[in-house]
Amino acid sequence: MNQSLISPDVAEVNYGERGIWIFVGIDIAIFLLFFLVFLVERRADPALFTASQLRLNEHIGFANTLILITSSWLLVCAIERMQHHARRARQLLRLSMAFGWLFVVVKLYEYTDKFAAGISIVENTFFNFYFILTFIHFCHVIGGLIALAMISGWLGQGARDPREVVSAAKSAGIYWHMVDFLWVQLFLLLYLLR
Amino acid sequence: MLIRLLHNPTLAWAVLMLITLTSWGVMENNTAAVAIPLILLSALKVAIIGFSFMEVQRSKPVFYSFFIVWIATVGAAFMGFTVLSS
Repeated sequence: MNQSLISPDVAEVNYGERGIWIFVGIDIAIFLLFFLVFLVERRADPALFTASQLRLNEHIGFANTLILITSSWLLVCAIERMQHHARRARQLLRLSMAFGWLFVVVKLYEYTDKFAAGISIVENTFFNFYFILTFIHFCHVIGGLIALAMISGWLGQGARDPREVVSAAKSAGIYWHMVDFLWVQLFLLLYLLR
Repeated sequence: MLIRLLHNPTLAWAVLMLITLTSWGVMENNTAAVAIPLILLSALKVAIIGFSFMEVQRSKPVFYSFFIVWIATVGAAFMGFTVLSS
């Protein structure tokens, strides 16, 4: 069933709300400050940071990078199809969310693994940063998944103004891609750079 | 190639997967020598996500400019501290 939600010309109007771009700007500026503080602390004790990094499993980080990139791509595909194929768009949106939840499961496994090994937030300065930064990012992922679930619900109901749904989906998409690229840099900083 | 990447999310996804898998391979021999390539590859990934998925170029110029400055600042900071620490 192909269902036209919105005419292409309407979809071209104002890509994303101004508010979401301001939010993204502030959020990535804050993360930049986190990165700088981490780098300054690392420079104060590089041996501790390198030894602690070796206790992380970078394979899990790489897997989560692939998972979030795929989720982002599926969301782009879903938003593209919202204009002409609402049902297919909803399927792709659900698939994008499934990858998002997979990220959550892998991250929880990683936390559990660290706790089982006796590593906690108070272990040392590196692990202070590791737990705080990844948990802040984790909360961003959960927030994004809630937003995507709301949009999926609106698509299914068909009760809302279609233009409103597409606009909300684009804003959620901008947020979700920010979560994606923040993870790329966070992963590099915490797991890879030595 | 760059323009096609911007307008084809599936191609962008494939390139992002390829870069990530390449980085994964490089990490098997993680030394200080691979730090700069890893920083550059990550910056490239962020740029692809920003321009192809997020379409930041379609936002207001102030947001677009800020995004570019952010990528450059993060990359420069990572490189600067890596060079200083080596």
